[in-house]
Amino acid sequence: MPKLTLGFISAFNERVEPLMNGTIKAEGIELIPTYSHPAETFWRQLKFGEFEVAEMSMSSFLIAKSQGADMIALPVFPSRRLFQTELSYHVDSGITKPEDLAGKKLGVAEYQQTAALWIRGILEHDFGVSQYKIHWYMERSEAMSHGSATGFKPPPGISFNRIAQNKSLASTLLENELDVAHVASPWVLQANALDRSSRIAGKGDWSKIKPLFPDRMAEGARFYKNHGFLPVNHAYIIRGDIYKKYPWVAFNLYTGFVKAKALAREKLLERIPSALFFGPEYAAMTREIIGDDPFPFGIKANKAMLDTIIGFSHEQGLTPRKMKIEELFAEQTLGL
Amino acid sequence: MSELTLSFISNFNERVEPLMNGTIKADGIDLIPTYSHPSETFWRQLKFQEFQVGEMSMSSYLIARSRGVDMIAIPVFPSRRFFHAEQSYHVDSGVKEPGDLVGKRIGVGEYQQTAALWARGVLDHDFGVSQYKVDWYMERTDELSHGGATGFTPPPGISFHRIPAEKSLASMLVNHEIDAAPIAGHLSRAFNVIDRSTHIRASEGDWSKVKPLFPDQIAEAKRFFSKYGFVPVNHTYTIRGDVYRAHPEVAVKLYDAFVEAKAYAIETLPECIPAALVFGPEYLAMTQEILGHDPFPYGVKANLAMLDTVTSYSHEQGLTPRKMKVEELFAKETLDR
Repeated sequence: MPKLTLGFISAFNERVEPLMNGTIKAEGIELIPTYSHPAETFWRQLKFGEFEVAEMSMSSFLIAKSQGADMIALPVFPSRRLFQTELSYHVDSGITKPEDLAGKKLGVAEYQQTAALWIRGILEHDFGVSQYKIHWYMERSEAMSHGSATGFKPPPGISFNRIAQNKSLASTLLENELDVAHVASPWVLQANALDRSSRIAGKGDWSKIKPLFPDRMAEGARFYKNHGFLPVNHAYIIRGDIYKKYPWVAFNLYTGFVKAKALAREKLLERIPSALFFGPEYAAMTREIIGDDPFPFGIKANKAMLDTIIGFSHEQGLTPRKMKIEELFAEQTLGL
Repeated sequence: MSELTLSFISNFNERVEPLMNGTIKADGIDLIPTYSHPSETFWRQLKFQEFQVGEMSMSSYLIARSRGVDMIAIPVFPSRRFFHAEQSYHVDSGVKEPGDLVGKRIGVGEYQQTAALWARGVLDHDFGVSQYKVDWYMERTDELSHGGATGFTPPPGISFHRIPAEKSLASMLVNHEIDAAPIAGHLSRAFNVIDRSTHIRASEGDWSKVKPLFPDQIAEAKRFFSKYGFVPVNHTYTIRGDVYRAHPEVAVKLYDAFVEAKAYAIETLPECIPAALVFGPEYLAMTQEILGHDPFPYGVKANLAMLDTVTSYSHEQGLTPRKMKVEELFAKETLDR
């Protein structure tokens, strides 16, 4: 039986893996998977639109859509993190708590990236640190950044600086040229063409670098209790030409993603490395804090999260208006 | 240079995986890997010795060695668990704490298996539950058991019973035909041909009546580890005698490769923790706080206390006729490791 063959790019993600390795099939579709670091994926996809279906930065997607990009998203959000808890500070900066960040130099890989959007929004709304009182430093160069593909300009009123080409987030934080930086990401050590921190490690005393939230679980619990969701990093998009020609692809892919996530949940306990020894106990601790499904899919289950990220994007000057949910996601998925 | 090709059987284990998928290579050796459930592996290896190198039950290995089996182990121990803490009991049994198991009916997959050896030893030595004051119920049949391959007979003085062929550990426990068993729920184990609890799952039973004997697994692990200094070992790896005699250098080469594979697993561990746990780095830190940075030490020297304990338990439980010596268990080339 013939199937529609679609190029598919994504990072490894346990909730997507069954689709990429073929354990789960989306009806009528044969995916040709490419595993890729998100930094490279989004740059390639925003600049060249190489793949028919792709993982996509939520923040860059909002920006690109506000500019009329020809792609449509599926409400699947398999990557979520507590980005604010990934900030680290230099002990000589005088920082001891999040509220101390006003007036400080904060480094991010890219100003418009989803992680930075959540960090700005949460610091401002939950900790009273205005984005206009922080000096922002960005690592990625103009040429090799997602912003280069969406025409990024620093929003008015923002103190925006670039980290020198021969330096990185890691090296500038270590040398206390930055006071605080987003360097604890699990991706940071994986080399990719965009992020220099994976190559320029810098010299210095890492014992002087401390996590801004020393108790990440407590901060995770606080955030989830107040907001009811984990911040979303990426969604998945279908290229406009494909969606227009084969509108059935959206729903079929969505149900494929749902099945893949269900399988990942079922297999979670056996996928926990035995070296943790207390896998079931740790899974129970996470459930206690975040409930049974930290990665809800669909529009309805993500209304609060979507309202928040759309609001943050607009108030941070990344999108000229508040984007509407109906213009972001395939219409066949809006009721899901 | 021509490579020595060796067949290799093992369960998936993150510390062995780099050897099985070829990320790490033993010097001059090509392994042909077969992934297999341990229950099936040991039965096949003990009965047919199909594989030149294979994962092996510590307890069955001690027994088989005491009877002169022609295989030799290398001191690598990538699978360890707190077996005694994996017991569950039926709430109608009157059991509330481990000491209450005296006089009760305890189920085991197999009487001589390593998990059962550790459970008996620790319950006896740490909780005063004498193995002679418990009624033991074994699930595996004589035909399809590791004991079937090593000539198992119940040790003198032990109250030993077999679970009827149409029942399983799971069904007996949930129906309170036994009081306790190392089983957590009706779906707790992967299917294999040896263990009936993986096909007779008793999913219709009332599993809310089955409770963990140690409700706080982490606290019990802490207690055990701070007293003994090791995590109980389940399996080791053996080389078939004919291969070892023809190529004695294989022992050290494989040992070194196992060490390298484990180092690789430790290095990549953080990224292997499912993101769905959300707090993976915190959980890893908690485990390291309790068990240190290498809960799976390799080599004879780093495992003397563990080896002394397992060889003693094996002897005092009547599984081996004497306490086996470390020197007769491991390839002599690896004894100084």
